[in-house]
Amino acid sequence: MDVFHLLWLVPAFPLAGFLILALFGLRLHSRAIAWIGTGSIGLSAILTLWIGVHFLTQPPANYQYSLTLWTWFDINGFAPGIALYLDPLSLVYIFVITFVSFFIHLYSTAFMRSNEGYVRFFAYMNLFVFSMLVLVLANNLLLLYLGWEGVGLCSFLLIGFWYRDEVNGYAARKAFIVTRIGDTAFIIGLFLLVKQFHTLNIQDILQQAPVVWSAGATAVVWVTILLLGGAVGKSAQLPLQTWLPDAMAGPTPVSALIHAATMVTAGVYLIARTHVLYSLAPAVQLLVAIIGLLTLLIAGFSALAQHDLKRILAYSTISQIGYMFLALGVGAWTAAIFHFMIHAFFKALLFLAAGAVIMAMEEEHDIFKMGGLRKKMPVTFWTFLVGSGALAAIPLITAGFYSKDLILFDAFASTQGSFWLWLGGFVGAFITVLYTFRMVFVTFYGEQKKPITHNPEEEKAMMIPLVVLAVLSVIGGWIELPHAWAHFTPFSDFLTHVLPPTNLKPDMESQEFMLQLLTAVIVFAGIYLSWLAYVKKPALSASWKNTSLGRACHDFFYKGWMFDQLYDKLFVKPVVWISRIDPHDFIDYIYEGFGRLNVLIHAGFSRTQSGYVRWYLLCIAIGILFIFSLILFV
Amino acid sequence: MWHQHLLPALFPQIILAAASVLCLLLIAWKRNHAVVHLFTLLSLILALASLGKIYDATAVDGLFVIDGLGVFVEGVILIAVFFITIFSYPYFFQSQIEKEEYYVLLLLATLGATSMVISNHFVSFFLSLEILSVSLYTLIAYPKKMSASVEAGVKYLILAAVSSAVLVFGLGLIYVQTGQMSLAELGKLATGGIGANIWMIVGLGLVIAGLGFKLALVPFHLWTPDVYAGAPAPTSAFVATISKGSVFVFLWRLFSSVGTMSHAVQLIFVVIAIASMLIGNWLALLQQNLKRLLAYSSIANLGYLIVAFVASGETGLHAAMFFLVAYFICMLGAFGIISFLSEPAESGQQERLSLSSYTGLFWQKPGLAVLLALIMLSLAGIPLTAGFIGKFYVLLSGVYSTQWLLVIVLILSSVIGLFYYLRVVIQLFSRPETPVSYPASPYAVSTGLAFLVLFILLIWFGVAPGHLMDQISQMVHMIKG
Repeated sequence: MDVFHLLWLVPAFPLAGFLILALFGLRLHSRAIAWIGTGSIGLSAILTLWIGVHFLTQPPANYQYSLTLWTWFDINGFAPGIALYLDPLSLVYIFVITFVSFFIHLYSTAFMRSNEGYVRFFAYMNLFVFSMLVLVLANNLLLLYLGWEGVGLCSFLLIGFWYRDEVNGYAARKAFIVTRIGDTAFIIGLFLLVKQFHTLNIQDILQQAPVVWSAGATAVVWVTILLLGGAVGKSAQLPLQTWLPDAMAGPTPVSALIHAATMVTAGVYLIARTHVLYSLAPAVQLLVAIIGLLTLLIAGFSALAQHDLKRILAYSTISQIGYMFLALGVGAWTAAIFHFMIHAFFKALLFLAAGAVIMAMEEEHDIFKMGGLRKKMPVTFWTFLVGSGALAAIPLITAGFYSKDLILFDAFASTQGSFWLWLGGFVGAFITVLYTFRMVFVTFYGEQKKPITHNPEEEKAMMIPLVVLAVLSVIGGWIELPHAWAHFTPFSDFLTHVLPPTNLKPDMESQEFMLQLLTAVIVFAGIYLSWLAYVKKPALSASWKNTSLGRACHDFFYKGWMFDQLYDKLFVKPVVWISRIDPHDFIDYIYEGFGRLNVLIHAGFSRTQSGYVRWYLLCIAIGILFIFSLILFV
Repeated sequence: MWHQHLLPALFPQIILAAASVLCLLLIAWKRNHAVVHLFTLLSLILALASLGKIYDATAVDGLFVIDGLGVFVEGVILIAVFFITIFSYPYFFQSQIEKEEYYVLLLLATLGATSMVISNHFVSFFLSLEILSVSLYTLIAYPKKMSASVEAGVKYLILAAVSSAVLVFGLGLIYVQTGQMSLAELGKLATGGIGANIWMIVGLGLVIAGLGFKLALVPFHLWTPDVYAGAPAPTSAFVATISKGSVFVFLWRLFSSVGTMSHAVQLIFVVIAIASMLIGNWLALLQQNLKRLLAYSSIANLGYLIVAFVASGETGLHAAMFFLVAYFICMLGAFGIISFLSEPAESGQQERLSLSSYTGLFWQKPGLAVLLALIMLSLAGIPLTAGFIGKFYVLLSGVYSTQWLLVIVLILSSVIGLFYYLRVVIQLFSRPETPVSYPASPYAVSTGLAFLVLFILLIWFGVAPGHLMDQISQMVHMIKG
């Protein structure tokens, strides 16, 4: 049991790493920076593993462990603590965060070597990992919010890492402002919770909520909608998804860590963490499913039309988180977390491999200008293929199959699921295969269009993470087999200590095999179609694109369903218009006037500081007279 | 009257008095700056250690009262003087003047301050005040070849003498009315309804004026910037912290012993607090001289402290003590940095006064700049610093006692204050056009260690205020008159 007392060290190591790098980083050699930056995460990962093994072999009472470090403040009984909470859900999260982060840090030691700001990069990354760990380990929503804002800040700083280019700064601001809209909803939700429960302790709220609120009560609907607002912003779901594709302006390891594996899944974590509230508001839970479904379709189609390798992956991330939301919406809590874990493995892998490709291509992002890299970059190619297989959910051999298949089955078979939800997810799965293998074939097959100057395959630090993540993307799925095969489901069994099991409609398991077969068919059909269009007969895809309908669709999808343009017209333009016709707003005069008034008063009182003792004495006398007059006349 | 049991209770005062005499003898025997410096530090540690002996013992006698409040503030004062002594060494190290007597005066001033916080009688209070004041005149004018210091010393001498006269007159009026000079006896009388007597209130009014001068409250504040700017930086630190903290404790003792404040007296304090908060911050708004800026800031901060005073009661006292500790840390750090960055000149130390001479300090001495920035944020009351918690408790005490006007003015004036504190921070981090060079100071290790301790305390009391607050509420209780 003692090992759980060390839980605080898990976030403390990255924080220490950040502090060392921030305070002394400029004096350190780049090798030392790499060691500190990566080592701090490595220590956290090892400790997490140790804690995890203990948790499995000698679980604490009720599978939950809480560690109060100190009370933050205490006002009239409202006393949020700096307290950590470990249960199977947070354990899965910290496991993924520390291990994936470690490998991405390792990769970055080589990837970022030629960049100025090497130490700044690792300092931000360590701060990010710290914030993310605080987010998932917090036992109250206030501390969670602190971590939530911390990761948002690091995301902002790292998207704009190459700040000399104005476009990157713009992308960083966009990400910050759009997620801020969700955060505002989130914090209003927290205020409502405090008003109702007078605490922000998550477990207390979850225990009291069913007692205080009846199902579908107005208050719980509002709270869940507001929390959903926060989740939607952070996880780049409809309608706040527009920031994520632009966030690809950051360095590729950042995209892999923050904008694929960890931070963007914080919304999923938040909803899973507060699942009791969502169970009390079935209408909002259905909304979660619908948001997930629409997002996964819209983002899938958008990915189909992108040319930029990283933007394809970005849309793919939005789409895959859509699957997680779909799972949450139909009450398949464990399936959502399972897909989060598998997605973290394969999407981090895809980003890192894409980073290697882009490095070899000298910062070329357009896949149509690459081609034929299969022979020159075998490790990258094979690992990328494994990752793509997992993304496309190739049956049996990839982990993505097990996790995505579970979601599709639950969308159909859960008591909250329906045929339409399944159909949407099913179409989405087909689209996923199409854009995934379009990406693979165009990048790695065909003729080589650009020579490789510096082959990143020589960098061991970059190749090891690829191989490890590729292995995880395959074997990760074997810890949760479909119901129809065998009842081997240790992952969801472990999580059901926190999350309720999925309620299935009666007699559904018999149909699971049928659904799996359908999925398998469309996966292979999709791969064949991509092969046909981009390898066998490239003219085919070009001819589709050249029809007027094809071009219109392509443009529409390429621009991400014109959401940016829509928001520009709806929100940005009117605000700019108003500010332009009213540059000298009278409200300004009030504030300017207030400032001027203060300066005037300052000038007036400054004159009293003449330096003459006689004047000072006079003032003392006036003060005494003033006191007397108060005494006599009041 | 010889009270055996009072002897250990007065150990700190005895040690300090003996140390100042020994220190003089040491100087007479052989002048050595380092030896005298170390001797001062040692005697301060000894005095601090002797406080542990009287931690639990509550001894009350005619002249002195040894209670938790007194012992707590004595401890704070001794620690603060310890810091000032550390800062004094590098400050005077390269100075051509004879510097050893400075420490004797420091010890004497500390003796005055520590006796004042346990004073329970007009006589003992006045004696302590004069020991403190006379030492301060000399401490301010110590670099006798610096005209600014001498001018500040003379100004302080004249004005403090006048204010002492006013104070004594006020105390005299109270004595005439009641025939008592002991606070305990006054407390007993006050329950009989003596507070309503007009001459009694006039006397109290004069006492307020006299104490208001020592605390630099508006309208008795005008001397503050001139003295702060003219005095050597370690002395400024002493004036800003210890002399004010000790007078404040007596103010508290006096008014809690004369019982519930009459309407008029309370009104006087409300007006004084409002005027100090607003005018202090306004005066600092565009100030370009860092020491003068800190002087105005201290006027405003004492105004905040008076809010807790008006709130009175247990809550008010605890808030005031926490606020005082946070304020001490900030002022010690700020003046410590100023003295550390001063350079030797012909007639004494040349201090960096103008804000522009601190431009880009961060790029040269990041540690110092971060500390100074943190101090400014703490004075401005930004969360995660001790200053925030202190101001928060003061605000809370104001809310509990429903002093809404004071609460609103406190918030508004804090907004004004934010402007000039942030102005300093911006200055520290902006890149200068021509890099300013900072000299390598001697004995950076002990000073650096002191800065580190202040830094840690600022954050510690800001992040986990519970430890200090527990200590305060354990030790400090309202004295019942």
